[in-house]
Order: sequence, then C-alpha cells, then structure tokens
Amino acid sequence: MTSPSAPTPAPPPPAAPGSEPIVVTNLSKWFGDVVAVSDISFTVWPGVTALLGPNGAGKSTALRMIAGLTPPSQGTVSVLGENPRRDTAVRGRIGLVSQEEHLFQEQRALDFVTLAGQLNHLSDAEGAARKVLATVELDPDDKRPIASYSKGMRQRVKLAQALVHEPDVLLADEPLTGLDPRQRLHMIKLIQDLGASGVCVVVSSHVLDEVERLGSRVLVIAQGRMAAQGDFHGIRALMDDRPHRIRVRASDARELGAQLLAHAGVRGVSVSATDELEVNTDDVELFRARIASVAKAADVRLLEVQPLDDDLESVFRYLVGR
Amino acid sequence: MDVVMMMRRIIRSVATRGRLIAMSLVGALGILIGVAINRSDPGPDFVPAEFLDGFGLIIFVPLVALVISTATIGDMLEERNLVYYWLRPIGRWKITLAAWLGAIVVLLPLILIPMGVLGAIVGSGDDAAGILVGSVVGVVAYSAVFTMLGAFTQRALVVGLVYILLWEGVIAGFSRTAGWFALRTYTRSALANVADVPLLDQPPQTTSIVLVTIAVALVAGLITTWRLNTMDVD
Repeated sequence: MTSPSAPTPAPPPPAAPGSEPIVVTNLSKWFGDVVAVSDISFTVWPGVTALLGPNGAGKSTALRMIAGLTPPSQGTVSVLGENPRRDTAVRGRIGLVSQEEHLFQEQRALDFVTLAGQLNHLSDAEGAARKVLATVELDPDDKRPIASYSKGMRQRVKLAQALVHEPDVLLADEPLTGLDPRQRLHMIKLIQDLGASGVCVVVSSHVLDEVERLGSRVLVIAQGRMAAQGDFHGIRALMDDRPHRIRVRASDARELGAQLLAHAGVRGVSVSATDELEVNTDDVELFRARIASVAKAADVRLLEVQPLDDDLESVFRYLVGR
Repeated sequence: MDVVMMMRRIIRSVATRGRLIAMSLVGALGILIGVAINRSDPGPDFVPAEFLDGFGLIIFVPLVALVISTATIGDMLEERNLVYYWLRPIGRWKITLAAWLGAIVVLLPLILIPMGVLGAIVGSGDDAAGILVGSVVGVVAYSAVFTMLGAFTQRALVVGLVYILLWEGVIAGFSRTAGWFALRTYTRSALANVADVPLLDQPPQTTSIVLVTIAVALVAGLITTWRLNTMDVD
C-alpha cells in the first residue's frame, strides 16, 4: 500500500493553506539495498502528532529527514516552507530530541543547554537555559557532568536543549524512553502543553499506550511505509476491526466451536484438540462480549482465552498488508 | 562569537588528560634525548638542526597534530553528538573553523614548549628559532588537514599515520615533485631557512612556505565544510 488511508478524518488544519509547518511528499530513503522509508506523504499541523510504528519501521529515518540530518533518496521535505537541510535560518526554528545517547558528556547540563541557546543567538541564553531546565525538572545549578546522569535525566537534558530557543517545530524521537512513570507523565503533559500552545510537535513511539496519551493525530509507519493516518481513536478502531485469531481452551472444544460460529460473530473455527480450538473473528469486541455466555449456555467450561496476534508487530503487519 | 563558544567546548573535549599526558611524554622523551646528546659531546659531525628536523618535524609535530586534530570533529562523529552544532542556525564553516582553531590552541603549547626547550638544549638560537617556526607551520597545516581527515573517517588516526609514514616518509622522498605534496617539505624548509642549514635541496622560500601553508589550511577548511554540509548526521 503506497497511499495512506485515513480511517477517520484528521483534525482540520488550524493554519491557513500553504502554511503547514511540515509537508512530506513522496519521501523515500534507502541505504544500499535496504529501503528504510518508502514513498510516504503527510502533512503535519501545529499540535501533537505521533509517529507510531514498531522498531525498525522507519520512524527515526523519517524524523531525521524532516530535521535535515540526512537527505531523502527521493521526495521532498518542507519545514516551515523551507528545506531544513539547506536553509540555515529554519534550523533555528526546529528543536530535535535525538535518540542518540551521547551529549557533551563532560559538560554540566546548564552549560550544555546554555551553549544551545547561544548558538541559537538568544540574548539571555543562560536565563533561558535555567528556565527550560526547571521546566523539565532538572536542577540548573547541578554541578555534576552530564556523563553522571541517569538515562531519564539525559533524556530531559535533550528535551531542554531542544526547547531552549522556543522552536516552532519540535521533533522528538522516542522522548519517553528511560523515564520513570512520574517523569513520563510530566513529559507527556509538557508535550501536550507545547502542542496546545501552537508548537508543531512530532513524537515517535513504538508504544501504543504512549501514543494514546500523547497525541490526537497519529501517523502509523510500518516497514517503511505509511500504514494509516488519522486520529488515535480511528487508528485504534482500525486495529481492532482487523481479523483476530484467538486460541480457546475449553472442556468441549467441538461443542463450543459450533456455538461460537452461530452466536459470537465468528468467521471460522478450527479444532486442534478435544480441549482446544482456534477462532477467527472480524469482530473481536462482540466475541469478547459473548464468549462467556455462549460457553455457559452450551454447558462448556472455559479454561483459557488467548489472542494469538495481538502484539503490535502483527497489527502493523496487518495494516501494511491491507 | 559562535566560533569562540564552539571552540572552547571542543578544546575541553579534545584536551583529555590521557591525550595531554601521552603527548607530553613524547615531547619529554625528545628533551631527554636532547639532554643526553648535550652531555655526551656529540662531536663536530653532529648538526643540531638535523636532529631537530628528525625528531621534531618528521615525527613529533605530525604525530601530535594527528592525535589532537583528528579528534576535534572525529570525536563528535564517533560520539554522535555533532548534531548539537549541526542543527543550529549557524554556517557549517563556523564548525570547521572552531574545530581547526581548537586544535591549534591545544597544539601550540603541546608542541612549541618541548620543541623550544629541545632547540635551546641541543642547538643555537637560530636552531631554536628554526624549529619553532617549522613547528608553527606544521601546527597550522597539519591541524587543518587532520581536522578534515577526522570529518571523513572514523579511522582517521590510521589513515593519518599511513600518510605520515608512507607518503611523507617514503613516497615524497622519491622525487622533488612528490615532495611538493608533503607538508613536511615546508616545515623542514622553514627550519632550514631560519637556521640556515642545508636540510633539503632547493627548499621553498619563506614566501612560498607561507602561501602554501595558508592554501593548505584554506583548501582543507573548504573540504571539511563541504563534508559537513553533505554528510549524514546521527
């Protein structure tokens, strides 16, 4: 599938036509024989947009092309109307939270973020650095070098350096990685607030729950291709509406299979043992709602119900293969 | 200001304790050898400028310049934090300039102090002045070239050693034309001209040495900037 589908309409663009912060057109990137990103197109408006996909799907490569860190093999990227790889000025309006772990390890967080502010030509870079470090809940007066920081703290330093110049576009590659639950909630709130204030925030993640909390708009990338785009609920529905395979263990598999076919929205049943069957259904919600009552009516004891392909990888595979 | 800020950070990053100690030890070794020569009465055949040339300009200066200069951009590529300069609204030539100047600032004391001391121990005032001038030429030219090398490959140390040992050490000696493309021709010529010692046949004159050094730095800087503009950044 090369053209993405929208399961539900995306939120209306708040900006005037032609002023979209990020426009990606037929973007592809390959490294030798390996295709990392294949012909994806999308537009991102102010607010939070989540780039969802499994590890190795091409999310980071797409973000790197949007930031201008690597040139596309094919297609174009426009950020705030400019080519981010060539235009010097537009780089001052982009903030990037990279996935790379290494910062300037020998520096203090304050020095590192101040340098970022200075190179973005802020008049009071240290003041801005102190403010943004406090925003990400780090002590600006911490004397320790960044090398001594935990992963979560380094993650917050990365966010601080990306925000110190108050960018119009924030690109964050897996920004919640390494954060503890409380920091995670704080970071999510921060990202939501940025989006609400009109910043165009693109956040990549391979965790569905994170995306649900983060963003109203979701771009699903799998195997380098755009699998779907729309609001989170539309994507969630799309994922749930796919065919599901479920293994059921019960005291009488044959009898339960017959009853499920008749009453529980089941498309097919295969009995693999006297106490085990595999069910195919397009309506997993209906199946979940009815299986207990169907089993009870058939006087069959349910022993186990286990989805066989409920992991994200299989969901993404399905979306790509539609 | 951008250049100065980046240069300060690069200096702190490059001038690690390990590097400074290791390079200082090599310089100290040269001084020890110089002291030993001085005390052993080397005789009338000993030409101080030849010793300064052999130890200082053929081995010490290019080696120290290689270790420090390849680390300026090379370390950032290896540690994948170049992006924190690369994605700022500044010209990439400023990154090049900051790296090159950072290398020079670290190299000047690391090289000039032991070379000056060594020159004073084994030779005359002219010998000491010659090795200092030759070292400055070497610092400026080698640092530009090796900074560029660090931007191209993570094996810059190995490639640089091959250049020093194979190209400068062997191939450049085969013909005068090949010698023109070896930096040590100009560092040695500076020493030869200042100390007035015949180290080479028909060494380039001072004006040529200055022009070539500037040209090498300029071309290496342009290539480094081109590399920064076109590279993939992690």
